[in-house]
Amino acid sequence: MSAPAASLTVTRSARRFALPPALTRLLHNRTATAGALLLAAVALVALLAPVLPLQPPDASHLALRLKPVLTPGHLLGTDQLGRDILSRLLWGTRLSLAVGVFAALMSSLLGSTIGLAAAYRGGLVDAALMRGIDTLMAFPYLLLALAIVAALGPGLFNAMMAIIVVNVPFFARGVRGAALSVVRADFMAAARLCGLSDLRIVFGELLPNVMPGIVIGVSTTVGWMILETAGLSFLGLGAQPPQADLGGMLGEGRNLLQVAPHVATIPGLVILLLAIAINLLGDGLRDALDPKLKAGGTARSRARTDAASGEERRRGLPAPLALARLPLALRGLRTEFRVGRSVYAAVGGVDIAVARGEAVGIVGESGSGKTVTALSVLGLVASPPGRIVGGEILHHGEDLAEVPLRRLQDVRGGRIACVFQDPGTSLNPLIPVGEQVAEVVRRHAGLGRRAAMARAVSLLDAVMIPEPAETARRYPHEMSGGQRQRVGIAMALADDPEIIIADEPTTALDVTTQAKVLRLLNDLRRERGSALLFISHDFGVIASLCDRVHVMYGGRVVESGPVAEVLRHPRHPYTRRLLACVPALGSRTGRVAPIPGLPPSTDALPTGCAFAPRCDRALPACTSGDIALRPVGPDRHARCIRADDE
Amino acid sequence: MSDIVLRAEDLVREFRRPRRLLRPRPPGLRAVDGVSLAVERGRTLGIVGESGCGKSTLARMVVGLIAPTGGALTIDGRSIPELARADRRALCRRVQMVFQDPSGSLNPRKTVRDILTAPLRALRGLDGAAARARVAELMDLVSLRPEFADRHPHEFSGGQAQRIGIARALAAEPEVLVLDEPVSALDVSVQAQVLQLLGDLQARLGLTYLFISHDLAVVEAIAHDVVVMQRGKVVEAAPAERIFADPRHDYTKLLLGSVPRAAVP
Repeated sequence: MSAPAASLTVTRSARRFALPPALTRLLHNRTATAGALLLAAVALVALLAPVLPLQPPDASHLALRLKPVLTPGHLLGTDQLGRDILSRLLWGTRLSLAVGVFAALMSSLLGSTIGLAAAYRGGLVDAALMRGIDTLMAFPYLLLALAIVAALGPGLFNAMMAIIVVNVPFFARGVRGAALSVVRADFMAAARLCGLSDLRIVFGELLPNVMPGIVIGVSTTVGWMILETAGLSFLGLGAQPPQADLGGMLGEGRNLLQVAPHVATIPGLVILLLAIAINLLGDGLRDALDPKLKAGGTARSRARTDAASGEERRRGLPAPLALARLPLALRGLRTEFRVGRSVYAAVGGVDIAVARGEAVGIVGESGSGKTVTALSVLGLVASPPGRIVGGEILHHGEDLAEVPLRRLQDVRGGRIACVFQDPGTSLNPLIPVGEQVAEVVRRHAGLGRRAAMARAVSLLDAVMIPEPAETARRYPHEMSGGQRQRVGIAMALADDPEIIIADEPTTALDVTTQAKVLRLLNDLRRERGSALLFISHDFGVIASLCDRVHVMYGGRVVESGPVAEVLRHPRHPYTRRLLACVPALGSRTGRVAPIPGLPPSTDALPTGCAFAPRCDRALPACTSGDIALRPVGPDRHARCIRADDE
Repeated sequence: MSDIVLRAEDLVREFRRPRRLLRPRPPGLRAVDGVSLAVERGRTLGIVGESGCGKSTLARMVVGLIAPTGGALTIDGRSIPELARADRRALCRRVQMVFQDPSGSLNPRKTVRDILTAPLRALRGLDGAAARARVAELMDLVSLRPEFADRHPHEFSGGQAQRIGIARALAAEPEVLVLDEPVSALDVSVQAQVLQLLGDLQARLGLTYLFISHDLAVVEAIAHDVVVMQRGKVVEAAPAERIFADPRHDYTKLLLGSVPRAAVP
C-alpha cells in the first residue's frame, strides 16, 4: 500500500528537481557555459566588493600616486590620486554591471511592450506607435543620449535614463517584427476561439514566441549599455567623481596612457571581458530557448548523408545480382537517425529496383520511411542525425553512398533529379523562376548564360506553362501552387534525367491541378523515357501513374508488385487494411474502415512483423522472429507468413 | 419544420485591395460573394471547392474571426458577427474550428496540455484535477497516447498535431464544429480513424459539422449535404447522394473527374 505511494513521491520530486530542458541544453553549449562562468565570476567578485578586504575606493594618498601593478598593498597599483585601482575596479564593475543590467531590462520592457502592442493591435495603434519610434530613431543615437543628459544634467542616474530611452526603438522594432509573423499564425486565431482575453493572448501565446529574441536582445544590449554608460562617464556626463565606474576610470586614465598605461588598460580589459561573456551567454540562451533545436542540435548538416564504410554496409548482403546494373537499385538500405539516446531505424533494409523508363511507386503513411528512402538515394538526409548504416545505393552498379562528393553532386539533379512536395519552399523566392531553371541547366549541361536561359524557357514550355518566356521572368510568389510545381518539374528535367524521384509532388495541389500535373508527369515519362520513383501516401495517385508499387510500413517494404495486381489482390494485411481506409468516390455504402492503433515509432519497432500489433490476423509466430519478404507470385512479394491464406 | 442551427443569407465578404499610387482604389475582392446556406442540427454540410474559392473565408466568418461585409449569418437565430463583438466566449462555446495547417495551428512553445487546458479554463471553467482529467479524456478521444500531453507540437507528425487541434476544438463542447480541411494533412489510416471519430462524435454528442474540404471522396464519406463553391459563389448544392451520383454543374463534373482512383474497375 505504501510502496507505490512512496515511489510516486520519488518520481514527482525527481521531476521537480530535474533540470529544465532549456538549462540542460545551455550547459551542453560549451561557449555559452564559458560565458556564463566568466560573467558569474565577475558578478560574484563585484557583489562581494563590500565584504572583501579592500582599501576604500575613494581614499586618496597623493604620496602613493601612479604606483605600478603588483605594488605591495596595491595589487593593481594606484591611480593619479593614489587610490587603490583594485578596489575602484571592483566597486566600479559593480556599479557598471548594475546600471547595464537595469538599463537593458527597462528598455527591453518598454520597447517590447510597444512592439507587442503595435503588432497585435495593428492598424492605427501600430501606425501611431511606430511613427513615435521612428521620430526617436531620426536622431543620431549618441547625440540623442547627449541631448537628454544635457537637459537632465550630468549624473549616473540621468545617463542611465538617456540610455534606456535611446535603446527603446531597438527593442520596439525588433519585437514588432518578430511578433508580426506570429500574429498571423493559426494558433493565434485558435487562441481567440479558446475564449482567451487579449492580454492572455499577448502574454501567453505571443510573448513566448518572441521571447528568445528579447532575451538575446537583452543579453547583447547589457554589453552595449555598459559600454554606453562607460562612454557617457568617459565624457564626464555619467558617474561624477569621486564615484568609480568603469567608464569614468577609463576616462581618468586616458591622459596617463603614456605615463601609467595600467590605469586605463585595466578597466578597459574588464569592459572587454564583460562584453564577451555577456554575448557568449546571450547566444547560448537563444539557442537553448528554441525547442526546435532540441532534436537536431545547432550543428549544420553536411553536404551529403553520412554513410558507414562499404564493408560495414555490405555485411550480410547477398552477392550482387544482374539488377545491380539498373539505373537505380537499392539493396538492403538502412538509414538511421540518432537523437539523444534513441536510434530511429527510419529505413530498415529496403530493396527497390527501378528499371529504365519504369514508374515505381512507394506508398506508405508518415513515418513509414518512404521519404527517407528517397532522400537517402542522393544523400539528402540531414547528417547529423541521419546516417546510412547498411546496404547499397547502386546507380548502374556504382554505389552512391561512397562515390566522391563531386560525383554525387553531378548525379544529383543530373542523372537523378528530384521533385519535392512543397514547390513554395523548394524555390528561391528572390530569383525569377527562369533563372532558377537556367542555373540547373548551366550546372549540369554546362551551357552559357544565354543558351541556358533559352533551354530553361523550352523546359517551362515542356511542362505546359503558358507564355514560358514571360513566365520565366516571374518570381515564385507570383505563381499558383500548380505553376510552381511545374517549375519544380522543369528543373528536374534540366539534364534529361534517367530517373526522377518525386516525393509527394502533388499533395499540396488542388484536385484539378493534381490531375494535370500527374498527366504531365506521365506524358513526360513516356516521351523522354525517364524512370520515375514516385512517393505518395495516396494509392489513387500511385495507381494512376505507376507500373509497380512498394508498400512500406515501419521502415520496411511489406508488399510489392504490379500496381493493378496489388490493388486487386493485396497479399499483406496492411495493404488490405490501408486500401479499406481510402474513401472511394462513388461508393457511399462502403464507409471507411480505419486500422486500429497507431503506426509504430521506428525507435521501438516490435520483434517480427511491425504490423502485428494492429493486425486482426496476427498469430504468435508473427512476433517471434524476423519475417522475410518472400515471393508470393509472379513479380509479387509480401512480408507476411499468412500471405497465402485466404 | 426542420431545426436549422446555422444559416447564411446572401453572405458577402469583400477584401479591400491596397490603393495604388495616383490611381483610384481597385474594386474590392469578393472572397465570398452572396452565399446562402442552412445547416440542420446534427447533420454535416460539406463544402467543396479548390483553393481560393472562398471556403476558408466562409469558415472564418462562421466562427467570428472575420466579420462579413454583407448579408446575414446566424447561429441558433443569433447573429454571429454581433456575438463575436459582444460576447465572444458565448460564441466560442457554440462554434469551434479545426484549422487547415496542423502545425501552424498549435503554439510551438506550449505543451499539448497547455494547449488543451486553455479552452477548458476560459470556456468551461475547469481547473486543476478536473482539467487534467478532461485533458486525458480528450487525448483518448482523438487516440493520442496520454504521455504525449507533456510534449511540444514539433514532436508530433502532422496527423497527430491535427488530432490535437481537433481535441482543442472539442474541449469547448461546441454545438457546431467548423472543420477546415481537417483531414487533408493526415495519413490515410489516420484519416479514416478521424473520419470515423468525427462520425461517432456526431452521433454521440449531436454535433453539427461544417466540413470544408477539397477532397471529394472524404466529403462523400462524411457529409449529408454538399455545397460546391467556385470563386466565392455556390455553383451547386444538393444532398450528397444526388451530387455524387448525378453532378449537374460543369465545375462539379470537372472536380469529380479529376479524382485519381485506386479502385480497380
